[in-house]
Amino acid sequence: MRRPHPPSALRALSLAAAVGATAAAAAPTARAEPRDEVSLGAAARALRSPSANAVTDDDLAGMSIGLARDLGHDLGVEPVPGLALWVEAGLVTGTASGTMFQSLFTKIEQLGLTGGVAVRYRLHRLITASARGAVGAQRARLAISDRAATAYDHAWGAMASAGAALDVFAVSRPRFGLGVRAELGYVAAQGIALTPRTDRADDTLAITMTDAAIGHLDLSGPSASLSLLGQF
Amino acid sequence: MPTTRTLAAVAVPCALAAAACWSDDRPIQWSRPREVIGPIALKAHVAYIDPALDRVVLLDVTADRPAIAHTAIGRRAMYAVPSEDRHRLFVITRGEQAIHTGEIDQPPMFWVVDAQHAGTATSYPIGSPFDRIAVSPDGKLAIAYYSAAGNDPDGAFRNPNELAVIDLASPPSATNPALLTIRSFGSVPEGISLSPPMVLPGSPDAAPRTFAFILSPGNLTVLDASHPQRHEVSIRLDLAGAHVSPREVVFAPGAASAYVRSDGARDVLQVALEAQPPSPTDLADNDFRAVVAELGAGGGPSDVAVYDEAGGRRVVLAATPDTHEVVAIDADTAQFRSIAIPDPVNRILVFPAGGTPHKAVFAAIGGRRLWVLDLDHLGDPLAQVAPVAISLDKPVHDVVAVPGRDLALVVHDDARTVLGVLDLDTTATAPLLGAGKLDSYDFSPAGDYLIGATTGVSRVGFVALDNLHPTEFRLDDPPAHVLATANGKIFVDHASALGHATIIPSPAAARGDAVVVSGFLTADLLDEEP
Repeated sequence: MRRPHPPSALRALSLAAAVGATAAAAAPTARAEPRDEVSLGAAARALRSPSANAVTDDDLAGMSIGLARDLGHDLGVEPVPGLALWVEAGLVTGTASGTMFQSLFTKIEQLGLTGGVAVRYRLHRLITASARGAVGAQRARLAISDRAATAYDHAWGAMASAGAALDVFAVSRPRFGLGVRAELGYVAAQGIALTPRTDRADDTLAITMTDAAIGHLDLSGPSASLSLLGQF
Repeated sequence: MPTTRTLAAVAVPCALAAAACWSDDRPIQWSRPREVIGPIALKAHVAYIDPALDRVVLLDVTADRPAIAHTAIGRRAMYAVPSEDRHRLFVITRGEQAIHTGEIDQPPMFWVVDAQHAGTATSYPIGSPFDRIAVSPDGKLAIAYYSAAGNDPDGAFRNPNELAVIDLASPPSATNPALLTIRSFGSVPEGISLSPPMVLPGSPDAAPRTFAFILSPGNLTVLDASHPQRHEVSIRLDLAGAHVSPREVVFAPGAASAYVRSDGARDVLQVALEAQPPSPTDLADNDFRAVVAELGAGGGPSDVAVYDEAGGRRVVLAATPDTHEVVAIDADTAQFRSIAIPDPVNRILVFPAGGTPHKAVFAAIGGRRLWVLDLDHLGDPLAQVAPVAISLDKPVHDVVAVPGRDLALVVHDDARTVLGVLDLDTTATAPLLGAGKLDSYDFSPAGDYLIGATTGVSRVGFVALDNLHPTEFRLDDPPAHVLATANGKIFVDHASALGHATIIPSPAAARGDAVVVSGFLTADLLDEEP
């Protein structure tokens, strides 16, 4: 049975902002739809900051894992028919390699942990559009190698992301759904101060070492992902 | 269908926006090749020149922990030399023409980097991509010129007789640097020596000035570098038909004269600069003339040294291997005294350097003997002059004077694993056995230690030159270069593209006193603006 459609998606998105405020007052609505979601997919992030451009010409590529739950259902809130509020937790990884000065080999590894909310609107029984925002932390690791040695460092920094996604379901049943999510977004990341160091043998008393900081690595940039998702 | 239209209305703009802003161009500086120039020891700093990032990296080794600073310079650094006092670094940058995105139009420049004021540098546009620098001993003048390396691969024409005379005491201007082309007779300069400040005897101009002696095959050019707009003076050396190439210029301390050793010449050439009123009709005429005299070495000198005796007599020592003699020439009277030495001497050192010398060492590179001559009685015609021969077990590869000491380091060409220290007071040599080839060495500023390193061996060796006691300092990494800075620190470079060096505070320091500094060639690199 098809749900009634709102006049436009924009209207639906604007109404989403009012969800939190009206949640307590809204009347509970019984639904027979999946309430939880697991997603697994591939993710990419274009590195556009000057610091990332210094290290590599490549983009971050990795995987994403997501968990989500229909918060509106738990709170008994559905202010607009077809509109749902989900809470999400995500993990995204990424790796990029490059060269500097045609002689130094570089590698960036990134691990991001985020939590946020998403507003989803069912356009069709098999198609859902969503907008989401999340904050979290990311761990960035930078390794630089010359012919003789590798120096590396890692550190944590804050990050925030926002995106818009389109879910297309192959299976959409009252208690189970299986589909594909394509998402475009942007990640704003804090510049992470790094000081690459080389390894020392544990059994030697090394001369006191002073390592020079290489600067702040900013992994901000547009992102894209393609995930398989299952809802239950 | 409404759903399809809505979907298209959202998805298409998002996809287009994402594609448009997905990626950007990487600044070209990160893809440039980087052949770092250095390390170069300065007074209290060690400098590296990064031609990819167009900056000089200065490590201040004064404190217990080194401080890193950067000074921006122009594109494509090619050549650098320190000033004699080692407070400043002079760099020539090639510049570039903007052909690719991110490149800039920049002419060749001469940069003066003051190590004590990192972050700022003075640049002088020199017009041509010179690749050699001669600096006057007082640091007030520099001349940029071309090496004899051949054509500039990036240029169309090259004038190898062009020079840029830079007044380092004045800011850049339309007349500073002064670009000029010296007169040529078919040859090109192979080297330039700048004199210490000279006052011309009898000249109404009492200001000390610097003269440039430009060495070209068959020709010696003298230029008043303090007044570069004036004519140069050309001295033809090959008019007699023989091929003569000037090789070495030594200046008599405190006098307006120079002594020139040339390949193919039988004698040492004395060039005395005497005052002469300039032509009133020629504004660029000189106020001096070059008086040339041949000092009778008589056998094709292979090396020369000039010194002033305590009594003021100026003496030129010239080795003439063809006649198996060393000739001591009175520079004022041209009278000479020959000292027979059976070996073909081609290296002369006087001790102590910088003062009134009283000993000289003569060496034939490749031979197994050294000769020590007492100079104190050389001017006495009644005194017997007899050099003392010192026999060595190994051939001589090099002889180096220890700064401020009556000691000479003898490097044997036995893979430079065997050294000798010659004590001029006792005329004794003490052999020193190295663990490996001596790839890099230096002396401590006071001349009390020899500091040496072998590539691939993680040690620095010290020899106390007072008692020849050897010690070693165990490094954590193999060394590539060892330097002694003027403030007494020992800087060991490990040849890493990231920058990796060990700083030892003194030859007597323990490992706990030293510090390793790493990553200084990539310091703050991510915070660089493109």
